[in-house]
Amino acid sequence: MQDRPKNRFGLGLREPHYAAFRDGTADVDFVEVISENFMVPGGKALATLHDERGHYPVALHGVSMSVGSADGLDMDYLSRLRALVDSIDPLFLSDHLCWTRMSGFSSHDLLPLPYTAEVLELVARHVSLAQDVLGRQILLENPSAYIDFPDTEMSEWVFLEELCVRTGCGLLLDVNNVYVSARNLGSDAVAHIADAPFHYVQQIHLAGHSKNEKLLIDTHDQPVCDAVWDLFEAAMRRAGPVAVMVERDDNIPALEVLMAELDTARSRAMQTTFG
Amino acid sequence: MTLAQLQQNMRDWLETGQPDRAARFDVQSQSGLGVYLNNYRSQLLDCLETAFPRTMEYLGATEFRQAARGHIMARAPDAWTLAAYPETFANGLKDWFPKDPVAPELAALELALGDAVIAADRPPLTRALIAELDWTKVALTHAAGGHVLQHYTNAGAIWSALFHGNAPPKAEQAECAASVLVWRSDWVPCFRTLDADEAVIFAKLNEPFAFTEICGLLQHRLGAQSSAARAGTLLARWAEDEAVSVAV
Repeated sequence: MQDRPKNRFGLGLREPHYAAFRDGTADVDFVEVISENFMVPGGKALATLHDERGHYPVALHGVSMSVGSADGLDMDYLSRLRALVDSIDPLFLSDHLCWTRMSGFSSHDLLPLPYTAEVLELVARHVSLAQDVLGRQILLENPSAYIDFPDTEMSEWVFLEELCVRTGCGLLLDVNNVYVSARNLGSDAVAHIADAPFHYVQQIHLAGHSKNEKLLIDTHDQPVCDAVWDLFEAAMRRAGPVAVMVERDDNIPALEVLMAELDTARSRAMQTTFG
Repeated sequence: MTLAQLQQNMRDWLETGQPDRAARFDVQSQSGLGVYLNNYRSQLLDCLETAFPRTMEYLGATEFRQAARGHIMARAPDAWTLAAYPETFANGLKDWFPKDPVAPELAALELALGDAVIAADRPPLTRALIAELDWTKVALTHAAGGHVLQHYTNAGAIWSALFHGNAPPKAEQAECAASVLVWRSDWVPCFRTLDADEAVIFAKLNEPFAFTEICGLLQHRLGAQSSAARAGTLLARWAEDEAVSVAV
């Protein structure tokens, strides 16, 4: 009898925790890194990543592919990413449904796209090209939104599902982003996540956010909040088996603190089908 | 509005922060546009502060951030990697502080140290290797991150003092430039001032440079008798510092 597929639980590999991960005893199923931080000629960080590859599967998560750029993809970027992919053989390769760049300008922020037929056509073309160049499937993450567009023609989920159908890409569901976007744009996060195309979800991100006077900001510098944990549980009832990861990029606490958050993710997931 | 127009509008907003650019978006978007603007500017400022910690300490945080903010308004990043952005700031620092010759040299030093951290790995010449090689055939090249800077000031001494938490020495300026070698040893970026004859040699190490030619250079400067001893001294120093690589 075949084993039932299991969920996997991982953490971001961040510099303050390099030493703790080096011996391979951390209780995680995989680690994730920001691809761009390792698209460099050499040095200690890259050597550490190759060492870690011997202990844990590595997911590569990018922020600069810019699949929504009207200008097209940056082929130099893709060829450098391909070199990293070939050397790491990642568990997953992901980026965001957004744009970051146009000719002569790079925002280094995940900027929003209107969900229109024109944009879907363009993003699908770019995702297909990227997958051809990279030689593998990519996962796209739903970004946090601070604005929406009056001329948008379809929901985020319809857009993403159609993208998966057209290109064969998969989804990285960021539960915190669902919460942040829903709060910022005045929609119901619980209802929104229920409509996600879970069939295509292979990875889930959990993170914390902060707050300004009016909006929630996707800062990845706080613990996961209760409302996001509840959304996560709702997502895990529909998804599975998936790879779950706690994402912390700033105000990084001791590894034990993040491991405790990951344990919470495990116990919440235990209550669902694929726990 | 086409996607290209929308993206141009967003770029205009991020680069200028001008209300008339925000007005191209609907009223409900104004708070959200502020988040994107703050993300854009704070990320670039953080990038510059991270790249130039001693330069900021030397200039003072207020002066540094004023220049950094001015640079961010004047020069948008255009590369896919944020790691490329500090170079544009270092290159423009002499225009922000025209009466301060130390600041641009400090920034260039920090830029080279940062570049050395991620430079391509190259196995260094070691003491053990010296005994194994046929020196009539060996060519040397820079170690990982090897780069020679020209300093007219004591920026290196100021950097070292600040790095160790000490009061920096008074700024000094010389008539002639000193050559400062930056490289990476055992994953750590480092630098030191080169002797005059070393500087001539390191200026040629961007390409593989035969050891026999190095000996020829030293002989020309020092004469036959002294040059052999000097070549041995330099080789031992470079092996100790891991400051050169053997070209493959």
